Amino acid sequence: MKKVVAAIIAFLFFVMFVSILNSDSKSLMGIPKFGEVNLAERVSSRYISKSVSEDAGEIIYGETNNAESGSANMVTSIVVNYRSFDTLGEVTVLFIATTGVAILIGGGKRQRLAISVNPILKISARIIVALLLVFGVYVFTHGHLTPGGGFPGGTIIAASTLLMLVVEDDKRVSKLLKFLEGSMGFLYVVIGIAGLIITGSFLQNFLPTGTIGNLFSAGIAPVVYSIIGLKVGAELSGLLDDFFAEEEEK
Amino acid sequence: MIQYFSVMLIAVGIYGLLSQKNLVKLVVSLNIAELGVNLFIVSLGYVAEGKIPILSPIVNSSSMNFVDPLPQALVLTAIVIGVAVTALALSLVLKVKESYGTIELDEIRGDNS
Amino acid sequence: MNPVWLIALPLGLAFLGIFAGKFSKVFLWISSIINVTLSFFIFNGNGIESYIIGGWAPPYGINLVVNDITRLFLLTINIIFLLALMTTSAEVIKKPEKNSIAFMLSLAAVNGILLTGDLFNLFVFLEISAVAAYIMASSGTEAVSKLASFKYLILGSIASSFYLLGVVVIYASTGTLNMADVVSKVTSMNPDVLLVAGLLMIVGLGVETKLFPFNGWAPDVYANASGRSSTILASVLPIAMISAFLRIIVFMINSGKLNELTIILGVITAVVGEILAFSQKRMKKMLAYSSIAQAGIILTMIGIGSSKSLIGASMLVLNNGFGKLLLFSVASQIMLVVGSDNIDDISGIGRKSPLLSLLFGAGALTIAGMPLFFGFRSKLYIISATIDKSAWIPAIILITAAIEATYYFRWLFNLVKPYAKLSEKRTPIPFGLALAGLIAVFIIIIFGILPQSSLDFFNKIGDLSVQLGNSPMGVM
Repeated sequence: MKKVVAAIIAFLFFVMFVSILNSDSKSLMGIPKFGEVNLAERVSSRYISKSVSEDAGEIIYGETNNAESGSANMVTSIVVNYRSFDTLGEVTVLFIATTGVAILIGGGKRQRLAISVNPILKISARIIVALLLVFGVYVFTHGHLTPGGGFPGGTIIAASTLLMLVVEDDKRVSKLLKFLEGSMGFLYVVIGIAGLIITGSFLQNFLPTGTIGNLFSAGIAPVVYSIIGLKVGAELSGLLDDFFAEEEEK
Repeated sequence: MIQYFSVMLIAVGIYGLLSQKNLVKLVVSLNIAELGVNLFIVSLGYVAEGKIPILSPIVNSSSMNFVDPLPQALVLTAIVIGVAVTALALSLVLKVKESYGTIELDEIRGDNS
Repeated sequence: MNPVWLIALPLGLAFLGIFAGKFSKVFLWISSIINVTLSFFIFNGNGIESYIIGGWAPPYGINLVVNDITRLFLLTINIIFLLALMTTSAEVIKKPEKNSIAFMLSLAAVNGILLTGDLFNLFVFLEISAVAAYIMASSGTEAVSKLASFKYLILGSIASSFYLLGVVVIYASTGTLNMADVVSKVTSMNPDVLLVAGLLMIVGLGVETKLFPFNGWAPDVYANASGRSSTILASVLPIAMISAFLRIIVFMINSGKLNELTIILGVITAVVGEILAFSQKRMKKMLAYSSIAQAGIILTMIGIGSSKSLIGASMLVLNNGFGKLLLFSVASQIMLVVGSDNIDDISGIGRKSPLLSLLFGAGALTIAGMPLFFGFRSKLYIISATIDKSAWIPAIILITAAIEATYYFRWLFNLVKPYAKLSEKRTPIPFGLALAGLIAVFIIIIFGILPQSSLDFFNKIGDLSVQLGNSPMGVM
């Protein structure tokens, strides 16, 4: 009985939502047809042409200097520059969730796995961990030039931690990770406050933006993404470590 | 089409949340629903014949046709928030298992009058 | 005075708290005290101010909007938070350093919810506040608090996803995420699309504001969380959530059908809440259902949206904040001393600490709307606001008020009646509870008896009503 009611509710939701899917028309605004979005009506057109404050003309890779956000990856320019406050909030959500996990199941001894690990696996895992760390750092430092950025980069670093935790039976992560996590978060807020003091708006970009396409460009974007990458890596590693902790004695 | 598919995913997630009793299945249904939401958001940004919004040596001018980058930025945030909440949910399930010995809601409610 | 400090300061100190050990408890007090002082400065502003974040003008960037409602709510939220810290300082929590981080982030998030002028930014702050609330909800000593927190988590997360869906539907239609910008474009939106987006947002915000039928999480969470957590969850968070509901559903979307739906659901919430509160045997559960009922009345007023009903709603939400602060603090103190809050186990405990009975009595009387207290004034406004609208809403509100008064008096008399088992020896209550409790009692009495002319800031709130043709979200 309950499943029937649930199925009816889910179906009603489906019908209600699908009915508005192609609702755009000349006189009334609605959801446009799939693929026929007119970007000029949306705020994104100014993000793409990097002309939010003033008209910048055409942006050319490798040639334009001191453009508005200076980042070749437009999604990065939105995440770290135009809507950086949302990213600060997102980092905070991840932070408080990992703190919550630490409150609930953290501490205690390491749980042992049921199967023992082959020595070949242990040795080759270390090589893979080294490669993963290098790749993770590459992803978050090049966040303004290639797809990726702080969050995937940090996750790759955490994957290397997971590999080490699974392969080594008694290792736990270092206490230094908590310090890294906290200080990186605090540094992000400090950058915001520095923007407030130097330029008058919280989280405003105060570094020069350079040439589009260079590694050292885009103002505070690579700095912030590196901070986020290290923070997320440390955070998720701590999270994985908490899940490996033993149950508390009641 | 992908928009219909993503709305169907959300509907499947809602069905799961309303009908399942196992705590882990509830977390999985939540994830399915969030997956549907994220897919729908990204699909709103699709421009036919649009390029990825990254300038590179081959796509080197801002006057070409790009897909909408803003929904992608929103989904970035939404995915991370979803991961964080799932981690917290699973640790709560672990604590419930520790105390009640079971993760089925009817058995827990049976103990707890 | 840039209000971003209200958010940035607790946020920064919370990040430091993870490795600062004993200092994180100090950070919690520092951030709360500084927030109260800053909100006094912000209270002295005028008109509708907009502060830009990131240096990009809205709608391309995010901005913080401060109007008269925001100033009043900011001040009271920060004051109530500090008082809640003071009244529950005697409680011993496990892992206090990490729990202080959750409280600091909750403080930052509720300030962010009140201030932000951007739809997606509101989503992010709602999530921060929600995750902090899940952690606070699971902090109880019994195992059932973890289960209650899990139920809350599942409901809250799917609600946030619905809210996000509503936001992107509005983005796909209007092309912007800024609230003030959407207000100017919402009239040219397809009305069906607006209805669906509004419904999604009502579901999303309804879970947090305890609207029927989404409030199933509230009784178990409020009843089983630790003392400080349940006090903050019941007194501080509703102010922020109701403000978010007001701005999004009434100020921004402003659809006649959705306002009617809010009124209907609000009335049902109030009636169901009062009826269920009547039969409860545990004090915290009774208070939880009472909170649900209060939220229902407030949301009904918000749905009506006239100038008087807005004033009544803001008065009621502040009255609920101070009243629930007192009631939950007393409940947590009783739990600490007696070990239970069952109506039979705590009979007569008020005789051992008269101050405790005073605090409980003040809280109960102001929520029940007795004269001399602020609650009476808010009930007067509400009755006069709803009489214009229709005949049966004030009747229902009077009935719920009668039920409320009955069960609150029953609990109050139970506290003070002489009981043979307990000795008549006086037991002192903690200093923090006494001091903060008396401050709260002073506030609700002062605002109950001051002449109307000195409550100018409430009249300014009435001017923000959309029905007067004003735009309370300001212009970009």
